[in-house]
Order: sequence, then structure tokens, then C-alpha cells
Amino acid sequence: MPVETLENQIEKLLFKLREAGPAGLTKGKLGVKDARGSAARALRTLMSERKVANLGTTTRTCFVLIEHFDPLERACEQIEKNALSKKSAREDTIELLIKKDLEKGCEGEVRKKIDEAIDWLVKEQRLHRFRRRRTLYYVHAENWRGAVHAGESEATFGNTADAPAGIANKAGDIDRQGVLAAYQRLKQRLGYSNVEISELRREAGCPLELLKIFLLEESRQGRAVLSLGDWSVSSEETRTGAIELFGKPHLLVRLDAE
Amino acid sequence: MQSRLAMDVNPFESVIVSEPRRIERPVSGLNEGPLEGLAGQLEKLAVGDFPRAIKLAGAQFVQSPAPGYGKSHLIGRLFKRLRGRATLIYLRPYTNASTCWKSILLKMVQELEFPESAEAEFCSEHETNQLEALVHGILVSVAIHGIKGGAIRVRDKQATVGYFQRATLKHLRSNEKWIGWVFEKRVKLAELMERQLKQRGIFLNASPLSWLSVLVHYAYRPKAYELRQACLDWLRGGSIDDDEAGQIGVLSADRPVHDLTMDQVNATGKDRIIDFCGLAGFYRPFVFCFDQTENYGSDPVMAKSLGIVIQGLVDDCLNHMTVVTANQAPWSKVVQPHWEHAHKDRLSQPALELRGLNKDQARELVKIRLEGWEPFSEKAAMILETGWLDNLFSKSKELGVRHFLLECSKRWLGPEPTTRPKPGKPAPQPAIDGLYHGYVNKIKSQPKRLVFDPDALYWLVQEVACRQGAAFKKFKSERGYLTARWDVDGRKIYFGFEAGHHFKRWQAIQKEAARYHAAETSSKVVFFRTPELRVIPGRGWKIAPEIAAAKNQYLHVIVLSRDDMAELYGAYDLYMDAVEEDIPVKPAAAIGFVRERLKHVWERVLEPAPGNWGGDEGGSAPPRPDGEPKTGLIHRIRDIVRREKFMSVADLMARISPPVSEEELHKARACIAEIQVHTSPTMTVLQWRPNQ
Repeated sequence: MPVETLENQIEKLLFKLREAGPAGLTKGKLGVKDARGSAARALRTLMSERKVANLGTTTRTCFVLIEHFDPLERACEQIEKNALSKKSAREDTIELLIKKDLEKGCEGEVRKKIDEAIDWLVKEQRLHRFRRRRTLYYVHAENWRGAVHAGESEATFGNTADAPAGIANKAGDIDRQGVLAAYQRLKQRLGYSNVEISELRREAGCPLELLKIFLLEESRQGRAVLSLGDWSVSSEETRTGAIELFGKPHLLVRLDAE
Repeated sequence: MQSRLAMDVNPFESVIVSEPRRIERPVSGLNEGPLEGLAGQLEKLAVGDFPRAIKLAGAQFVQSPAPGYGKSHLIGRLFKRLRGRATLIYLRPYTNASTCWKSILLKMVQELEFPESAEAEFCSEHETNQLEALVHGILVSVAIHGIKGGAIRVRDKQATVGYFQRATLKHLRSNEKWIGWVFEKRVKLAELMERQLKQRGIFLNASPLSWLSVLVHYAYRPKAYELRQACLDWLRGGSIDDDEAGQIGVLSADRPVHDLTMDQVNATGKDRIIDFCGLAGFYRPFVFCFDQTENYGSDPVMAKSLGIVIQGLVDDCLNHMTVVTANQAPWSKVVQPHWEHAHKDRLSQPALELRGLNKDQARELVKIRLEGWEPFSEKAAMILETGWLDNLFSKSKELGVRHFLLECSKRWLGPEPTTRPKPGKPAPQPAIDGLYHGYVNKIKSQPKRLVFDPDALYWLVQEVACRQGAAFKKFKSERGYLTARWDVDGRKIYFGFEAGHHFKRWQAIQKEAARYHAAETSSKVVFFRTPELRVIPGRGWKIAPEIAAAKNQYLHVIVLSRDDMAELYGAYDLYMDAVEEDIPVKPAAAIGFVRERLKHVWERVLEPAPGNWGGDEGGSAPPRPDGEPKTGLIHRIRDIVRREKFMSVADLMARISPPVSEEELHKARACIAEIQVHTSPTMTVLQWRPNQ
């Protein structure tokens, strides 16, 4: 029997994963049975080269090509789906959800991104967050709008709709001016404008995950530009700042003056 | 009706600029800032009377946040912008730190033979190259200042000065009276030139008479092939035959002795560059562009040597602008850490930073790329679709040019399941193989690249070698003629890289080779030669029998054919682009592939029996003069390609009568700026693009 080379195995796995697309495949469906076999080696090679990643857990795997490795986006999708599926029985009442309701169906890497995704959706005003004592409650913006439309006039709606956004900013937002000032200091010191995200975090002294959400939003708004940088020569610390965009880890950011 | 070939060519496939003189039209506004910055710096070098002696405060540093933002394209734009205002030198990385200046000088002289127009790669018949333009500029400037100052007496000062100000090289080259006068008064002219230089504090390392003699022979005796080659040898810092040196007028003191050590050769290289820059004060500045600088990060010595080179250029050379391009992360992490403060200080701050495309620029780029394709075809419409572009730019207002082109390419090709490998069967052609063939075809289409390139050859011996990790040893022979060694199968194989043709130097090489061979009779010495170099031993050399005898025992002179060179240089480019991350191949994988692919080269190198070395390898006939392509052939190619719009090189060759070789065809084609070349692993297609 001809010996299967590592290259052949890699091609095979890539073919299967291309066919599977964003849905991905489990280890079993990929044909990786023996952990010491050539298929497992091929899979490890592909993972170390960041061509393939596991969206699931070690026991419930879901391997996808790196371009489909988007746990944050998937988490956002699932949360919105969960939030929209809970309709209130009465038209004049809003059904409040807790985090446990939102994270249903999220596993592995997607589950790890739940908090980040909630922050993102709140910032995007697609999810509203309320607090009562220690408990946080959530409402999808569409459900909120629908309920308000049903019970309030247009004028009142405008005022009411602003309220959740304000609450969200206080709860999860980042000190924008602080980040911009840190960026300017860094830029001045380094002499170039594309700075490492991890370095910006250190300079700004803010939580990394919040900073990432902030930078993604700034990028979407056209006020920041994320760049790949160079993964191969970057340290582990630099890599922690990576923001996935177009399926690739972006290590640098340039903040443009408004 | 769109040609079938046009359908086979993907207009978005080309994402790497390998020749900055062949770039596509830039999109409006993209990276204008850095371009203006560079052009502004050059203006500082164009003030004051001739000869100028101006130094910029530092080298210009262009930084890209990641690969694929257009560093080489910016150099191409700079070349276009500075056409006629600067002498343009594009420098790919050297590979041996101990001969860095020698390599830079060699590339400099090769670049000086590029057309003055800066938009084609080859000079057509009667077209001026950069070196000829420089010589013309120097002579005219010296003459005008001599006339104005009264050192050269003429009947009508004003009219004569006016004549020289208007005269082109073509005019003066056809003016026998002028040429006769220049050769007759060479000594006086050289003294005059020296006086003018001294007034500005410029002192040449070689004597002004030797310089002037070499330059006028090169520019005014283009048909004297052997002497012209000797002039080029001297300009490259090499030694030349005494007879030829005498005929040209190179003084004895300025003839590099035949047995210079490598360190001395390297120092001579730097001296020549300094002199070139001094002489540029009579005409226009040099622009040195160091590209693909990630490759200097291959080891600390190389990285440091680049710092020394930049410092040397900034401190010691007048009338030039040095441009260094780099990708931010490799530069700051593997190159600059090996620089001393003095080196870092030679880079102007802040760096000029490259940016990505915005949506409008992306749309413009698509339109540029689609010129020549059916404008309303389904595929073209798909790429220009607003929704697709909106979606692409919804997450980021800017995208790197290469990233965007790759997205376009994917969309253009669409899903092609038949091209994917079938599961369970080995992939018929690994992607790297296709890439490699693409590189080889590209080299074949760039006739100027098919010349002796010691950096590519040194890389081949050092990095690739015949076996992983086993063969290459850092080495320097006593006199420095042999700079690398393989220890393989219990034998020693020494390598030298010599482009020169001086019989005494080759005699010294042969003696050094003989010493190593005598110490270990199983050893041999390998020298690569390329077809444009003169044959070793030369005709009429008294020592020819000794060299021939050595070639039958231990001196293995491997004359590479143009096909060999295309393969080797294609492999080198593949590796360079892998290091630059311009292609999705890891450098180690590229090396592994090349090592396997070039087995036939290793077999030639490893062959122990002199009887199997291919006898005289290259024969004793002198090399064919490297003539410029004939105007008639250029016109024919232009007419055919303009009519056909798209055609393969094979089809074009079939239409040319009398038949020409692929090399001749490419040389002629390279004179035509409107023809764009698309290379793929399987074929080379020419496209007529008048709006480039």
C-alpha cells in the first residue's frame, strides 16, 4: 500500500474543509482517528501554520479553514438569534434576558467570546443592557423598538431609545480620549503611526478585550486602520493584541485624527 | 470580440512588482505624501552651480505596515517622476556582507546601462542609456564652464555655450570634429575637470584623467566592443589588461592590481561609488533605492553591514539620495536591532509611511487593471459591483493593495472545483512548483536580469547548497578569491565569484586554486560564468595553456546557459519574495523546494571527474557582442502586438520573420513601454496597454 505523505494528507484535509465551508467539520468527519497517525500530524501542521483552527472544544471539535475562524462574529450572531427568539407574550411588555439566555448554543471558542460579543452588540446598539443591583438584563434593540412603538408616541420613543445607549456606554465603554492620547504618545515616541495593539494597550492601561472592541468599531467608522504587521517575527505579547479581520490576525493599528 | 488569451489571463494575478521600471499607472492620491517627500528631497540636490557638492542629512526611509502596500511600486513611481532629473539605481539585496560595496557597484553599473527613458528595460538601437547620459552631462558641463571661464578659448563664447546647452549625446556622438577634439585634448580636459572639482572640495579617488578616458571611450566608441567591456570592467572596480588600459588611457596607478584581496576589491568598489557621486555634481544626482530589505535580516552580520553601507553613503558620498524601503515589523525586529546608533541616525525621521487603498482608489485600480478587457463583460461587472466593494470596505476604510488585488483575483476566478486537488490523490503540481515556473518565465522576459549576479550565485551556494545543513562552510581563502566552501562526501569544493577578465587575476586565481588542490587532491574550485562575460582563458593569453591545464584538473569553470540562469535567478526571486512574505510560501519551504529542483546543478558542481565537466564549457570563441535590438524588429513587434492586443510569446515568435530567438524577442519587446507582460507557470502573454 502506498504510504500517505504529509503533503497528501494536508491537501486532503484542506479539500474537505473547503467543501465544508463555514460549517466546518469534526475531527471524525475529517478522518482524524489516530492521534499519532499522519492525518493527525497533518492537522497539527495546518493548525500550527494557522491555516486551520478549531471553533469547538477538544471533545466537540469543529475545524474550519482560517478564513472561517470568526468566533466573535459567530458569538454575535448566536446572541442576536437568542435575543430575538424571546418574544414577550404581551405587546406592552418587554421580556428581559440574562446572559445565560444569550449564550445558549455557543461552545468552544465561540463561547469564549460571549462577553466580548455582548459588549460589541451593546456598543453597536443592537443590544440594550440594564442593571438592577448585581444583575444585568438584556433586550435586543428590535424588541425594544417594537415594544416602544407599540406603547409610545414617536417623540417619546426618541428620548427613550437614547437611554439604553447611555447606559451601555457607562457600563462597557472605554475612555476614548485616554486611548487617543496614549496612541499619540506612542506614535511620537516610536516615530511611526502604525503601532502594535498590545503596546497601545500597555500605554493606555485599559483592558485588552475592550480596546479590541473599541478599535474594531473605530475601524468600521473609518477612524482607525488595522494592519497585519508580521506574525512570524512578532513576540507572544504582540500576538495577544491580534484582532481578527478578514480572517487574519491584525497586529497594528493607526488611529486617524478626525 | 475578446481574444481567448485575454480570457485565460487574470488581470489581478500580478501582485508583486519585480521591475520598478515596469509599473502600472498609479491610482489617484495613493501614497502621494511619501512620493512628494522623496521628490522634495531630490530638489535639494538640484540647486547651485555645477559642479555641485551637496549632501542630504540622511537616507530617506519608507516604511510599510505590512507586505503588499506598494514599496517597489513607489520606487517605480519615483523613477517615473525623476526621469531625466536623476540617475536611478535600484538595488536588490546583496548576500555577502564582506563584498557589499563590490556588489552594490556591480548592480550600479548594470543599472547605469538601463535606458535613460526609465520606462523600458532595454535600450533600442541609438537609444541613450543612463551611463551615456551621465558622460554626456559631465562633458558638456566641463566644456561650458571651461568656455565661460576662458580655459577653453572659442570664437563666439555665447553661441558655443548655447550649442553645448542644446546638444544631445546623439548630436555630439555624430560630430567627428568634437569627438576628435575630446580625445586629443583629453589630458587638458581632465585637468580642467579636476580644477572645477577642487573648487568645490571634490577629490576623486582615481585620477580625473583615468575617469575621463574611460567615460569618453564608453560613450563615444560604442562599436569598440572589447574596449567598451574593458571600460565597464574598470568602472566595476575590476582589473583590466594593460594593453586595453593603455589604449583607453587609464593611468598605471589607477589600474587595480590583479591580485587584490577581496577586502581591497571591496574598498575599491566603495571608492568608485564615491567618485561616481562626485562626478554626478556636473550633471544630476544619483538615487539609490534599497528594496527588499527584510533579506538583510537573515543574519546579524548582514543586518549590520546594511547599517554600515547606509552610513557610508550618507557620510562619504555627495550628490545622491538614498532611499531605503522596509516592512515595519521585520525592520524593527530583525534588521535595526543590529544597527549602532550612528547607523540609525543616518535615516531621516520621521519615516515616510505607506497607506492602503480607499474604496474610490480601489475602484480606480480595478478599472486600470481591466483596461484591454471587455469593459462590460460579466466578470468585469462583478468586480466593479458597488455592493461587493461596499462590503469589502465596510470593516476598514483602507486595504493594502495586495490584499485588495487578491480579493479581486478570487472574485475574478470564481469557484473552480476542477482545479482543486481530488481527495485521496496527491496534488498533481504543488503550488510552489507553479510559482517557481512563473518566476522562471518572468526572468526570461527580463533580459537585463540575465547577467552575472554574484549575489544570487552566492545565495545559491550558501543558503541552498546541495544538502541541508551539511555542505556549506563559511570560508575565505588566503587571497580572498575563494569565498565559500562545501564539505561533501569527504571532498572539499571551493567557490569563487569573479566577473572580471584580467589574465593576471585569473593567473592568481589559478595559483590559489592549485595550492588548495595540492593540499587535498580530491578538492576542486568552482567558478560560475555567464554568457555575457568573456571566456576564460581569453584569446591570446600567454597563460592560456596553464589555465586550460588547471581546467582539466581542479579549476571547474561552469558556464551557465541563459536557461540555467533563468532557473537559478527565478529560484532566487522565489526565495526573496518568500522572505518578504510577498508569496504564501515559507522561506524554509522555498529553500527545500529549490534544493530539490536544482539537483541537476548540484550534480554538475559535485562531479569529481574533470573529464565530465563538459570540456571547455563555453568554448573558446569570444562572446557575442551584446548588441541593441534592431529598430526594425521593435517596430514589427509593436505593430503585431498593437493589432492583436493579447498574444503569447510563442505566437509572436511564429509571426516574426526572419526567425529570432526568445531572448532577442524579449530584448526588443523590453524596449516598448506599452507592452505589458503577463507570466504564468505555463506561458508568457503580451498585452498592448498604451495608457500605462
